Amino acid sequence: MRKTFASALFLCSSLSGCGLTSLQKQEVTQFATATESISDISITQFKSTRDKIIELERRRLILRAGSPPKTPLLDAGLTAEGVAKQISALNALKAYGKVLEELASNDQGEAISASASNLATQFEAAKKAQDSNYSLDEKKKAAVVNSFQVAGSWFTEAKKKEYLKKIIDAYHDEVVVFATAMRNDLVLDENSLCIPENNRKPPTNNSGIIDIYCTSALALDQVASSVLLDTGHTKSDREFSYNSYFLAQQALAEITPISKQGEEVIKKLLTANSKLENIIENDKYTQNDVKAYYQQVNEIRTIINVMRED
Amino acid sequence: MAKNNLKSDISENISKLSKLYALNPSKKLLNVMQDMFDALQKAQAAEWADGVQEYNDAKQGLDAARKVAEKAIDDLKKTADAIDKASKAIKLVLTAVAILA
Repeated sequence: MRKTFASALFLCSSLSGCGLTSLQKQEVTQFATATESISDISITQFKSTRDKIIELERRRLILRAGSPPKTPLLDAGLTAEGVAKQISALNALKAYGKVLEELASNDQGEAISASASNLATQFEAAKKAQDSNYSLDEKKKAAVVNSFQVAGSWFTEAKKKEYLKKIIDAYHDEVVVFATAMRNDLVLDENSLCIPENNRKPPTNNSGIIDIYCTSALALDQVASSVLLDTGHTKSDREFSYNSYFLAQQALAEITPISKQGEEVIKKLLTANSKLENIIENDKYTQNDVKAYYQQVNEIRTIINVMRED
Repeated sequence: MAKNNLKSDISENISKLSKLYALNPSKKLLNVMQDMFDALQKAQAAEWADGVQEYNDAKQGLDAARKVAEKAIDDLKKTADAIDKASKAIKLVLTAVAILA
């Protein structure tokens, strides 16, 4: 029996090499949090930008009373249905972050610890039934509890890593597709009119929400300023035009910073996504990880010795 | 690619018209430019609608991958239960051994 138990512990300890290191857990959790944040930020950004575009277009339509458009688009083509689809997809991306976080932080250690503690107590009670003077000293008891906890945790960690590998592999390409689609909405087209003319490049991306926002703002800016520079308009017309011009200027002022931030966020998401795959594939132990590992191995040896003595 | 060319052509026209308008502001020119902005918006909205489809496709991929994740979490819980059961089983065996000893 002692041999069997020792073998079981040895088997558990052999599996530990396949477990998640604290560094890997930390990286997975960080990536998960970043994915959730990016999804949240994008959802808020898309919703508020659509609202702003609707207001810009409403004002433009009023100011074009003399020559209205043939087919007015109150939302500039950004349909509520389309934005809802984007939000639903971003929620799916957010759920991915949550899954990773849950898996990385899912810890059965407490249950295993309670079980190990019971084991030591029961063993002591059983021995006492034979020998009323028998008592398992605290050091040995702690060794039993610690070793069982360690062995169980290691086994769980090894399984976690195996599953994380599968999940990250399954999601990896989809995150890249997401990042590309989100880039179109968060980052200005290289050929955008909101980029100074001498810095424009031939377009390589599809237009997205931010490009439509730029077009609406520029169009309103022009039609509103034409009223302000013209004579023969009523005071209330001029006031409406002034407010519209101000709104368009505000929009134009925020577009470039939003685009730069969007570029940065997408770059980080893509880098973290590819890094995550490497982190799970390669175990790079830090000095602290090695020390912790050594300590755990020692605890395993102690429990084996305790069992032999008894 | 065709959309990009159309979009680039419209943008270029707007840039040229803006320069003309700065030199000679006229209502006619302003109206033409506003129409051009409308055309640019339509081209951009069409591209955005294609992008929405990409989101949709990516979501479907994510949904499929989520099943892998859900199974993994479920399996992990089962593994933890198995560890717990094994630990309880060893406890019973050890108790029996101690009693028999």
